[in-house]
Formats: sequence, structure tokens, C-alpha cells
Amino acid sequence: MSSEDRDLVVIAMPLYGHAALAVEALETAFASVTECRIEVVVSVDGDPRREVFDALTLYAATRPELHVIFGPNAGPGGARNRAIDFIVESLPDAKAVYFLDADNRVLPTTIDTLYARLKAEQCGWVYTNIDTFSVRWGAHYGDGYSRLTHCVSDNICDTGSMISIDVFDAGVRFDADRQNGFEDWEFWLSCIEAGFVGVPCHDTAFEYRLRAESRFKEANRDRAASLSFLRRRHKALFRRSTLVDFEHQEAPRYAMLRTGDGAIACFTDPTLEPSILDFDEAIRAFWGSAAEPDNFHFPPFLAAGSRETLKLLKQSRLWPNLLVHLERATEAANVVFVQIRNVPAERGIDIEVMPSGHVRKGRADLIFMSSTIVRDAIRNNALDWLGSIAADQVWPTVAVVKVRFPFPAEAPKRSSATPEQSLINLVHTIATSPLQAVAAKRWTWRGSRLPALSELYKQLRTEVGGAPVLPLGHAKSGKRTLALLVPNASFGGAEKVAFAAARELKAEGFETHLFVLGNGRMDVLDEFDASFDFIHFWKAGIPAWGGSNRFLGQDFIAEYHDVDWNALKGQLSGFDLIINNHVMAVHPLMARLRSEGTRTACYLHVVDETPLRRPAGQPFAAIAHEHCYDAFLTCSEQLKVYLHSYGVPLEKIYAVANAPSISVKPKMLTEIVQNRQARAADAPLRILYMGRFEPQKGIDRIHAALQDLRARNIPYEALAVGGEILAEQPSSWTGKLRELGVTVRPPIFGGREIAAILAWGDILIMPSRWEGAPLMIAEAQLVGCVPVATAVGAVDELVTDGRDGILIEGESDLKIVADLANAVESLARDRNRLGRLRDGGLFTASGRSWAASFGPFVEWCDQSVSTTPRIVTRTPNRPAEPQPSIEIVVPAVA
Amino acid sequence: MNGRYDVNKPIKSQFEPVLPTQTKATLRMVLAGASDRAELASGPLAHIVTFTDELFRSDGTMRDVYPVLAVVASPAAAVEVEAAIKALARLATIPAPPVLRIDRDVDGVAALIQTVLESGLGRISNYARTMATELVMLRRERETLFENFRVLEDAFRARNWEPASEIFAHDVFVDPKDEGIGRLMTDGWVEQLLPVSSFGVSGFALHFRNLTRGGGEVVVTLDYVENGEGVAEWVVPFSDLAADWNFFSLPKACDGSPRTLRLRISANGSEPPAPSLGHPIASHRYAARARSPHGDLDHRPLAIKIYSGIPGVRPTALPNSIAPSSLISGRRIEDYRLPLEALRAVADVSVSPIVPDFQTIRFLEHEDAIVCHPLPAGISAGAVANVVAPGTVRFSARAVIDHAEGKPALVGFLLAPSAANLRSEIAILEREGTARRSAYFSGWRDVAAGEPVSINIMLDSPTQRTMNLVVLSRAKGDSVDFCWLKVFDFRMVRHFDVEPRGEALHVQ
Repeated sequence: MSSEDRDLVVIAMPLYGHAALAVEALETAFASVTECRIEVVVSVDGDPRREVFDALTLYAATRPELHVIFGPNAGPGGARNRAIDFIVESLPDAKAVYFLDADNRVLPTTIDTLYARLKAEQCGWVYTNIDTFSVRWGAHYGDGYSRLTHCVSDNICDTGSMISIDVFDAGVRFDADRQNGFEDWEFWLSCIEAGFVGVPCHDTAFEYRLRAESRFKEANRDRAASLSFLRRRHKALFRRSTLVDFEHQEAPRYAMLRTGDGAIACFTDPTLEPSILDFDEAIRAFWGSAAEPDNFHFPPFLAAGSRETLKLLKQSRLWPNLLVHLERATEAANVVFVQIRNVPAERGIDIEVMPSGHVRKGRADLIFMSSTIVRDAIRNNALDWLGSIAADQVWPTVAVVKVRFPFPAEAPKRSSATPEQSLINLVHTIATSPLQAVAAKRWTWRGSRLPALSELYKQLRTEVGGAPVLPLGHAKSGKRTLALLVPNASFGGAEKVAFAAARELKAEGFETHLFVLGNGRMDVLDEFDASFDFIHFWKAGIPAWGGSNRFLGQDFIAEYHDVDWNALKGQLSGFDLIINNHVMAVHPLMARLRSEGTRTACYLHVVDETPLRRPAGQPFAAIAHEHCYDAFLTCSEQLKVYLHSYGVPLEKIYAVANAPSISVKPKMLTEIVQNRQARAADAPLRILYMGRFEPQKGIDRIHAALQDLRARNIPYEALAVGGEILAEQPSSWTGKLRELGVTVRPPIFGGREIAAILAWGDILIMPSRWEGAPLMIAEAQLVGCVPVATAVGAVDELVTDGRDGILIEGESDLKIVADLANAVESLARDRNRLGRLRDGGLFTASGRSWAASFGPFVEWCDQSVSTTPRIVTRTPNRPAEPQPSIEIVVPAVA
Repeated sequence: MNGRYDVNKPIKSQFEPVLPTQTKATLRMVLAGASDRAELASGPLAHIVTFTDELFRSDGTMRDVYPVLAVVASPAAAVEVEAAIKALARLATIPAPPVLRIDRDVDGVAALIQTVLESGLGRISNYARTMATELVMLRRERETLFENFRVLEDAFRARNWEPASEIFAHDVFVDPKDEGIGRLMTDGWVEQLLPVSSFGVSGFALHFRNLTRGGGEVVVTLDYVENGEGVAEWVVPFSDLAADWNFFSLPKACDGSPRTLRLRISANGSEPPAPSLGHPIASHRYAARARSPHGDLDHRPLAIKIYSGIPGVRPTALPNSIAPSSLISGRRIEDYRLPLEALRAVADVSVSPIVPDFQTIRFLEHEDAIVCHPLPAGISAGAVANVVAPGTVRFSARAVIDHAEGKPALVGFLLAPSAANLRSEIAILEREGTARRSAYFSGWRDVAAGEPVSINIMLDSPTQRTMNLVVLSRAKGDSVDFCWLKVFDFRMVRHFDVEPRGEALHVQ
């Protein structure tokens, strides 16, 4: 083979301050025994020692393969970049670059061995363990490369590595910023971000000169600042989605034993394809991780369940949230049993912790525990204790997690093997393996430098700043992710409006997550049930209200209050957009989430009033955290102006006019209108009220007005749909209404049922004391039911008096009751007017849609919310598949 | 540099020039003003001069220019040179070059400068480079000496002269399903990485389950993984091994940087004793490996004990101690086989007055063996050309007469230089009983029917160049009836120096 046919490997050597050692480094470089051609590029970084010039001039005189760049001082990163630029420009056939520090040495086989490995592995770079001389120290950097470890623990690759030229062709360079003490670590993070991965090589080494004091030591003294620099520079890498993707591939958090076929699926993100271990591999990983935790990974959590159970959980959209609950439950109990129940109109998760000796009721559909429990049970010869999980009386402490959600009536097929017994069998197989005999002995002689792979999930928690960390990586197809936060999910108007926002954003291409925070359940609303890709509950440690702070006399929660910040941060980190819809406890987190790259929005619906009529409620807590939010959404122009009056910039506020939360098909609407037109003019007026039976809604005013109407002998039929708030009302409004002949029905949630009830009513009365922009008015107008409402809040943005409804002005209860009764009487007597208002309402409703209402906000989202770029692993010499999401565009939001 | 250890290529030796005889032709050491381009561009300095307008690149750096001297032939150039020297100062590294005015006799002065720079400086550079190489070697030796001195001093002060301390042990584990790995050793080798740092290792012990009656040797080599340097080699006749733990001692404990030690065990002979295996482990890297996969080796290391302490002192519990056959410190070892293509091309170079009526020399395709049938007179010889690589120190093969009624014969081997006239070499051997100085002769060895023998050649020093291998046979008695002599299992071991420790580099 001629010289030109051999691959060219360039050794690049930055030089500053090592005048007396550089020649030694060069000698070892040129003594390499290799099939490659070698050229050496020395980049002199403004070193003031003239000895450098003399030595290099003499050396260059006899070495045609030596190139020297003299430049002004630019720091180690800048000097290396000069060498790289020289190589790219002047040595275009270079295949790889090895960085040799001027005070280090290579062994004769270092270059050849590393380059051979680089070619064989088709990776971005190949690195070695580190053996130092002068001050002796050695460290083993793992049998496998982990991007997660490299990001969240420490720099695990010295620059003394063989780097594919493709890395530099892709534009990766060192950061020359002198504030960066870890320019080598920063470089590798850039490589990872560009899609390259490393591969360790233990078959050779280089000699790292270590003195008592070094630049590395110096940098470590200011480690916190340097780490902060790295995280700012590589925001996309440190996002939850990116790190969880790495975790899924490199150190999966969960091992799920499938009871049917005995396969062990390892995963972190349950939506991604798991890696499958057989028993043999699992046993080896288990015992390997005991003595060499830096080389072997056994997932830190172990579960067992049938394939059908897993399928059901995936369909439930609760699976990622359930895993978070299970992780947390292992902190309170040795073993967790999951029981799944089919409930048609509700979703929820409840957790109960049982003491040792608990006599169980019912079998578990899924069992979950920490691998540490298994390890301890084997070490302490307590397999019988652990084995009792399959018996009626269970000696480990148990957490029972009850999950309920609607699923098809046919019961899932049950596996013949129970999850408990399957798991015990696996544990017994592990415990009796011949590998146990020597499991305590470490064979890798160099000291471990890396954290245990099975403990990486804890490092991930530290990195994210919360625990447990939501086990979801990037959304499918590069979708942006939305987290919609609500304090409860029932049939309230505020929730429905927020759900409508999620529905619009989902249609716009977002992956949508509903977080019910402070509550463990939700009602299933058919109209919005498909608006969410995932649903999450977290009840414990999230107060609905509180805090001892005062902002304009209002409460607000701060970071030092007793809130489960870990759970909140662990679950909310990493979303592209968060809309906080009245979850007060989350406000203090928003600034951190925003600085990590999340866009934040706050949805406000109403200024509440205390019993003494002091303005209060969510808007004030939100205004107290104004700078944490990129956008505010309001249900009305009025609230928008109100927020502006407290210093919220107008451009940040999107007034979203409410539209109906129900939909009515044209055919059904035609029927409803025809029925209304066909009603006899002397038929009793049908009066409808829908809402909570409470003073805010004016239930007392309704009662009084209906009494008045009876006294006036106005014929009517009345229907009240809603529920009491017993805690606030000593007496029952239900009883009082019934005494007046009003039909009372419990609340309804289904869109079709709501439409049917509204279709029944001629008028909807709503004499509220305060409101935002009630959905019920828009929904009534949708089906031709005429709203008669007090002009509070933004009601007058929904009703034009005399055109599509009737507004009642004033604050005095007596006046309002009288005006309400008068309005009803006039409509009862003048059916033509009722018809005109009905038609006006139908016309108004025909011009409303959520898509139109949310249009400007969605447009803002399209401009401002970008997806976290997915790191697509690429192989040198093989072109990476085009991925639009590869670009790292994370606009600064700090 | 860049030598490669494959058999068809010579490795570096003292016969090759180790230093280039000329300095780099393009080394630009003279700085001149751009205004003097016309005067200097066609003169003797043209290829070593850099003009001020091409000195710096747009990013302010200077590439492959070493301005040790500046020349000025015109006032304009003087200004340019002065400015360039000021700019050089900003780089901090480069001393201001002296400025030489060459207004008159440009070519004469320039020729002088050229001569000084390319001749005198070139010689000095070569000499400096030699010194740099030597400096590296001395520094490395100084580090080792200091480290060892400290170890000795600590031990002396503490009086903790442990003769031998076991620092690692992995016990024997007999799996009833084990088939034994003896065959792997003859087919290739079995390799084991030691799970301790090399620093201070003074010996190790291997356990052998049972011994065999046949003849042959177990060859154990120890080297460093990270740089391929050999440590020692033990060539142990089967009869010297005990069916128990056998201690392999090092005359000098491993020093220098801590590295990973690799043990490689091979054997010649029909049924070599197999080293015992230990309990299975999770680590794949530290399990024993062989050239071909074997069920016994699935995640199982060899049973092994590793010792530190005073070199050469055996642990009291291990009676059978084996000293190394050779120390190969600073060299790499390669165990290689002869390629079948080469064996297939075996050539008949027999020297005999008898012209046989059958083919005495040929290759047996399915047995990978060479037949070398002796004749009643003279020497039958089959030559395999250019297969002995430079650096070879040992050669072994096995021979048998493959016929029940075959008459006994003598077998031998000759390693002869590639360029040698082989028939002439064999004629000398036939005539004088010894080979020329440039060749190696193994001596004659008896072979009888059905009794395989091993033939080993240990060379006093490694071969310096590629050589031919010649298989020889001759009659032992009066008859050579059915004397189908087959030679097979050719194995070579070669050493080659790892350059930083090799003094050869400095030989002029």
C-alpha cells in the first residue's frame, strides 16, 4: 500500500505552558506504530516561552509531518479550533483527529488501536480509560458509553480521544469562551447535540501527566459556575425529554416481566419500544450490577404484569402518570399492588399504604417494587418474606394503587400466571444463579469513576430538580408538547374552556397532557375526552389555595411553603408549553420552567369575590407572578383590561371569547328550532336554570323571582339542574325549589344531555352575583334558549340586551329579583319577542367558534413555542436521515 | 514509524536508516519584505523565504513558518520587515529574528544563508531530534526508577518484605458439563485478562486439572494490553506441570505505569493439559477467550491466583514454581501460523542422487500437512518461501510417519534467507552436517511410525529478515519403505521491539 493509500490520522496538540514537555509528547506521537499516515499539528497558543519556538523549529526541520500554527493566546478551546480549522482546510483527506495535550504522552499502539476501533464502530469518537503518571491515578470510564451519564454526572471522556473527522465536518468546535472551565466537557456535549456518540476502548491508553496542581483542579474549584455555563449553552440537551430518551436507551428505569411469555421489557418511556431481556441476560445484569455497577445496568424498578394489563394501561393514557405514582409509592412501601377497575364516567388514581401483615383483598393486576428490595431480600436471606406477596397475608409493607378508568366492557384476558408468582420466580432464579457465588468481586481493576448505571435515575432527578421524573421522552413526530394544568376536572366552565384550548392546540399539532393537580380524579366529558393524549393526576402535597404571603392583600404560595415541589417539578419539566389554568401552587415554579425553555401561559376566567365583596381569586396570584408568564389568556376583554390595569402588558394578553362547550349537529338543531316554533303561544314558559345552587350564582334570587312569578300567576314550568354546595349552605335549596314546583335534577356532564335540556327551556335564567364569561349563555344561545342574566363580569360580551338575550343591571338584590321577574313575565306574555330573541341568539351563536376565539393565541404559539429538538444519533460516513427537528433552536427566555 | 507487524513486511531494524538525511525542503525560516520579492523570489532563498504580505493569515495566525532570520534588500522592505517583527511580538512565542541587510551581492549572501540553514542547521536538527528521543526514554526510566525507589524505601522502612502476597484469587469450579479446553490451546490460544493492576505483580498461578502422558509444551506469555509490550514467556514441558496449582514466577515485579496484564496460553503436542476454569462471572471482558468459541468458556475465567511480593519467591502453599523461559520486556509478541496458500505452494528442493518415481514432496489438502518422504540417500526437502517473518524467535511443528509399516526417519527444519540458493544450502548441510551462518538448522530428530513428535527451534536471537522455511527428511536406516513423513501444526512466535524502549532507534 502506498503512503497515500493509507488513512491519514492527525494528532492535534495545543501548546501553552508546556515548553519543556512538548517534545516528549511529539516524540511519542511520532513513535506510533500504525498502518495509518500520521501528521501532527501543533497549535501554539501565544505561549510566551521562546523555548517553544526554538524546539519546534528544530523539530520541524526534520519532520515533514509536523505542522505548527503560531497564534495569539485564545485559550485551550481556541487553540484546538485553530488546529481543527487547519486540518479541515489543509489536510482534507484526514479521517480522524486525536488530541494530545502537550504534557501527555501516547503509547506506541494508542493511535492504531483507537483508529481501528473508530473505523469498526462507525462512531463519533473513541475514548480510553485514564491512567495518570507523576501523580498516580487511574479510573475506569465504563464498559459502555452513556450520553445520560455524560450529561448529568461528569465529563467521562478526555480530549485525548480519537475523533472522526465527520464531527468537525459537521461544524462541531470547541467553545472558546474563557468563562467555560470545562471546555472539553462542553465539546463532547456539542458532539452529542450534533448526534454523535462515543465508544470506549480499553485495549489501549494514553499517559496523562498529573501534577499536584492542574488546570483541571482549578476549573473544578469553580465547578458550579462552569456547570451552569454548560447547561445554559446546551439547554436542549438538559431538557427532560432529551434526558429521558437517553435514559430509555442507555439505562432504562423499569424492568417489566411479562407473565405470559416471561420476557423482561426494559424501558423508561412506556410509549417507546422497550429493549427485551431474557432471564439469562437479566440475571447477568443483576449480578453484574452488584459488583460493577458502572459497567452493568439492571433497572432500578421491577414490575410484573400480563401483556393484556399493559395494553390496557397504555390505552388508558394514564400509564406514564401511573409509573410516577408507583415510583413514589415504593418510598412508602416495600411492594406496590396495582388494581385496575372499569368505571365508565370517571378516571382516577387512589393510593393506600398497608402495614406489614396486611391481609389482601383481591389480586393485583400489576406488581411493582424497587430492585433494591430484591437485592436486600437475597442478601438477607429473606426470600420467604418476599415470597409472601403471593400469599393472602403479605409481610412486606404494601401500597395498593387503585386505578379506574373506562375501558371496553369485555374483561381483559387474564394470564394463568399471576404477576406476584412470576416475579417471585424471577427473584428465585436470580438468587440461585451460580453468578451469585462471586458477585461481590469486582474484576475491572481500575477504580470506578462513573455513577452506578442503576442509580442514574436519581442523577436525572437531581438534574431535573424534581422526583419522580415523568418518564416521557420526545413526543412522536416532533410534536410540540402542551401541559394543561387544572385544579380539578369536573364539569365547571373554567375547565371546559381550558379543555377547549387543549383541543384547539391538539388540532394544531401539539401533544396534549392534562394535569389534574391537587385532585386524584376527573369526570369523563365526552365533548373533550379526546382532547388529551395523556392524563396525569397528582393529589398529595398540592394545596388549592394558601400561603402566608400577601400580594395586594391576596394570598400567594412561595417556594418555601409546604408543597410537594419535587413531584411538581419532576412532572412538569420539559414541556414546550404549559398553560396554568388556576393551579395556584404552580406559580412559583413557572420562572424555573420558563428559564429551562418552556413557554408559559396563564388562563384566567374570573375575579372572585369574598363574602364581604373583596375582589379576590386566581387573577391576583397570577399577577403576582406576572413575569413568569409569556402569555395570559382571559375569557373576556373586560378581564384583559383588568389585568392591564395591574401592569400586565396588553400584548401578553389574549382575550378568548367563550364559545359553547357542546356541539349540536345541524339536523338536531333544525329539529330543536322547529319544535320551538311549533309550541303553542299560550303554553307555559319553560324556565331553566343550570349551575351550582349557591349564592354566587344567585340561587336565592332565582327562588325569590320564581316566588314572585307564582304570585303574579304567570304560568311557567321550571327546571333546575345542578347540585348543592353543602359545606356552604346550612339549608337545602333543592327542597325550597321543589316547594315552588320546580323540577330539580342532578348535574349532567354529557354534551348531548346538556343540549337536550337547553332545547327544553325557552329561557335560561342566570342572576349571578359575579361571573366571568359563562359558557352556559353561549350554549343556550346555540340551541335558541334565551338567556336572561345579570350584567356581571363579561356577560355583556356574550349578550346584547334586547337582541339575543336580556341583561339585568344593578346590584340590589330586590331590584334584580324584580327585574328578573319582570323580564320573565314579559317573555311569557310576548312570545313574538321571545321568538325574536331566540333568533337573535341563534344568529349570535352561529358566529362563534373556539377555533376563531383561540386563533390569535394559537398563532402566538406557532411563533413562540418550538419543540425541543430530538437528538438523532448519526453514524459517521453514513448520512443522517433528514430530521427537521435536528436544529437546535431554543430561543432564550431568561 | 508506521511499520506494521504483518508477516510480509519487514519491521524496522538497524539496517534501515532511522533518520531522514535531509531537512524539510519547505521549512520557511527566512522572513523578507514583500518589496524584495523580485530580488529574492528567483534566488537561492526562494524556497525558504516567507514574505511579509503572506506571513499572517486572516485569523492572525502563522502556519508552518519559522522566522529565525530576516533579510532586507531594500528600504521599503526594511519598513515591512520591521512592521512584521512587531506583529510577531503579539504572538508572544517568537523571538524577534535578527535582520540581515543584503543590499549588495544578494545572491552571495543568500547562498550563504541557505547553506547555513539547510546544511548546518539540518545536522543540528537531526542531532537534536536524536537527543529528544533519548530524553523521552531517560525521562520514562527516571519515572520508573523513582517510583520503584519509593516502593523499596517504604518496604524497607516498614520491614514488610512479604515474600509473596496473594492479591487476587479465583478458585477452581468444576462443571460436570465441562469438556476441557486443551484442544483450544493447540488450535490457537486461550487468553485471560488479569483483574488487577500490573504494578507490583510478581507472579501468578494456574491450576491444571490433570496431566497427559504425551510430549509437548505449554507456552504461557504475559503482556500488557494497552501497549502490547511483552513481559515474560514460559515454555513448560507437560511433564513439569503439576496437577494442582502451578506458580509462574517473574524475576522482576511489573513496574512502570499500572496496566492490564494479558495471559495467553497455547500448547503443542497431541493432548496438552488444560488449565482449570473458575466460577462464571458476569463480566464478558474478563472471561477467558479463545480463538474459536467454546461452551466451557461462556462467561468463565481461568482459575487463577495473582501474587505480588519479592520476585522469584514462590508462595509457600504452591510447591511447583516455574521460572520464565525468557523475559521479553519492552517487546511485543505475536504468535502466528503459516498461511495455507504458502504451504500449498511448497517446492521440492531435495538434494539426492536418487530420482524417485513418486512425488516425495507435496501438500495434503485436507490435513494442512506437508509430506516429505525421505529417500535412501540424500535429503528430501520441501521449501515454503518467505513465510518466516522478521523477529521470529521460535518455530515449532509436529511430525509423524503416517503408515503402520513406515520405516523410521529423521526430520529437521532449515530457516534460510529469502535470497539463498536452497539446494546449495541443503547440499552444504548434507556435506558438512551444519548450515551456513546465515541460516538456522534445527538438528535431526527421530520419527517413528504412528508416534507424533514435536520439533521446536528456539533461536538465539530473532530473525532479522524474512526467511524461507525448509522441511527436511532423511533416511534413518537402510529402508525408507512406507516412510510417509507428515509435518503439520506449524507455529511461529516472533518478537518485535516497541520503539520508545528500543535503543535501535539511536543506531546511526
